[in-house]
Amino acid sequence: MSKLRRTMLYVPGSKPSMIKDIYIYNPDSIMFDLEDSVSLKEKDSARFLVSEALQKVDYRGIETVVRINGLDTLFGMEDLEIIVKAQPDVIRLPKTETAKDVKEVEEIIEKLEKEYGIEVGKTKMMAAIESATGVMNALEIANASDRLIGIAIGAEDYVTNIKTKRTPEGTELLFARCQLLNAARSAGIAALDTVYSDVENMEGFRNEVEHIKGLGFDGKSIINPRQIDVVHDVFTPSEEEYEEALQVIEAIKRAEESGSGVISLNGKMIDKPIVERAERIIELSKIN
Amino acid sequence: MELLNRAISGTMESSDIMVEIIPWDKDLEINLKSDVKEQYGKQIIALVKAILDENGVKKACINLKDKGALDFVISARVKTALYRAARRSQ
Amino acid sequence: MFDNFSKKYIYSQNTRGRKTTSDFLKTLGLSFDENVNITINILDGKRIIATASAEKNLIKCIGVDENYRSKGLMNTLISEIISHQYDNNIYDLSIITKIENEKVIQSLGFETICETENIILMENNKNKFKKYLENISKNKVANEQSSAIVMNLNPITKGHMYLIEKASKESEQVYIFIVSEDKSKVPFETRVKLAKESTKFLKNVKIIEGGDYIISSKTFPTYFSKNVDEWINNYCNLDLKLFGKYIAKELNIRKRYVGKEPYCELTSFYNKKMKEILPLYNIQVTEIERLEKNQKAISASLVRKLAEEGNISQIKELVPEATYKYYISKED
Repeated sequence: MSKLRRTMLYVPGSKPSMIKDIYIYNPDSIMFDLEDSVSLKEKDSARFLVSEALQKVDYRGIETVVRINGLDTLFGMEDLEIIVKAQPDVIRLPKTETAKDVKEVEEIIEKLEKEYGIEVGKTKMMAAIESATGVMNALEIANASDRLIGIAIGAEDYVTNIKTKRTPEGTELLFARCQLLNAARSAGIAALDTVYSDVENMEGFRNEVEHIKGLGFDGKSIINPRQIDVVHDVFTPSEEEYEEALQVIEAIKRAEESGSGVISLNGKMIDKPIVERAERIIELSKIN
Repeated sequence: MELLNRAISGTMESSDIMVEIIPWDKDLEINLKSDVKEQYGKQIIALVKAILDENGVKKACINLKDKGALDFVISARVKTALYRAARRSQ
Repeated sequence: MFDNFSKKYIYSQNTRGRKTTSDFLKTLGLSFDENVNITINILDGKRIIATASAEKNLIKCIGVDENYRSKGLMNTLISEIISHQYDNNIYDLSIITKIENEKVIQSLGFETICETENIILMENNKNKFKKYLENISKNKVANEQSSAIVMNLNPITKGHMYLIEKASKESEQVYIFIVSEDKSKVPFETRVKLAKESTKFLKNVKIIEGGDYIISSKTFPTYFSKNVDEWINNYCNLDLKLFGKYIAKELNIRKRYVGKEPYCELTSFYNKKMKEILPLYNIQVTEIERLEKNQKAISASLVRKLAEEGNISQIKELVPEATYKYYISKED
């Protein structure tokens, strides 16, 4: 089963107290941010903090992601030079608009991996799409590199770019979300949704999580640990789903035992997508 | 590494350490202020010294104000201060 | 840890930001000093919960909302100010704060330089005051008891000369401390030059730069804004203790001369405090009546006003020659 990415917990790279303890909340991924949550004055210090943390702190096997500054800023290049060496699992690009954006960074990562004696290809990538252009190019972006494990939508910048505001219903994001989701599925990678900033509004948050799960997303960016449980809960299959999945697995067993080439359940044929789905549901249920 | 300016990094928030590097003509001097100076002072200074040695820094005054920083924070702050001290002033 | 506080930098031009800061400080019983050039605020949403400002190397106007104490916001603010001033090549910092903040500020690397009943002066470089006193002592002419006058001399007038000559006659040695703060119309170097010129003929008078610890914005943060309030009392205590306990010693000063102040409420209050406090340090305070011209005390502000109006000829009878020559040359 592919890696769970239900929750990606943001940590500003400039805060030592947060960086050192963040694993205790047990999200599926931790994202160390060098970009928007770090002031210009602190870009360099955040870079060193995250680099040292990745090398010295035990994150208990939780996937580590670092959001670097774009290559079009003063900081992007140095971020890569210092961070790749520290070997995070994934490097996340902000504001990706074209496949070229992805390829440019990939080239640099490869060069650095060779320079540092790191297994080439070990450092994965993730692209955040935060503009209309990016959304329209979602498919080419999703296919731009073998290292790409997922694409994400960054709503704040996106809605500004398309000249509107975020609403609770999220209609303004519907197109972008669906486009992104389909591009991700077509490329066989993960689709991740944007942050929900109103930490006090748990009900609103849950609604949004259910909405994006319904659309097919794999997970969401988190800015406060309180949001983690809600997401994990929403992504946990229901009793009914679990029972159905069990039945599918049993149908597979029966087919194997009887030597039949076709798996059927309740008179209907079960094919690969349904099997995969059932296996995933069983795994997800086990986690909780 | 050639140090061009004095520089400062870090904060005095809990779990952090403020590192000040002042290039000068005299030999290396490291001053540490920390609540845990007795238990960890030696360790902290050794760590800082190691990074300075790695970077060939011999003539500087280093002032440290520790608020319970872990090793990775100390390393990061020292490296940041060196990085800043090696750059031309704005 | 996941508090969503934000930081805001407010510079001098940001009048709205300074107003909200001032309002916030008022709720804590503190006042905002208009002379600061940088203010850093921490906000919870849109509300200010903590603030600190700086005027060059003096950190002031520090306040934290009661409900947000023990969140280390003071540490954050002071660290931020230190870092900001560092970027502007200002490394040695001082803080004037309420005495109850001493421990907290100490933990941020500051040491107490001078303590009064309600407020303390703290600095992060304890050698700075030491060096200042050493420099003062370098001006010592001889070991006898001496007199001091602290003056702005903005510019030096016949009124000043009257006071100086009187002190010179009555003392073995007179030291004139010129207030270094350059909030005066006449630039500091000029004030010093004119003073030295005008007092050249008095062999026992020496002009000294007041420096950071004599009625500067450090020891008298609201002096230049001329508003008398309770903090003035605190600042007077601090300034006079610094002078009486530390500075005067370096030059064996036993007497301080001062002109009676008919116009300025703040100065007359300060003079009153001087008479209370300096005797505690064995320094006698002698208040002299102002020299009058046409029933009006000769004041530097009058001279400046005339200069601004272009009435240079009227200035001639109010000032020593050097000052008059200065205004003539300025006219050209």
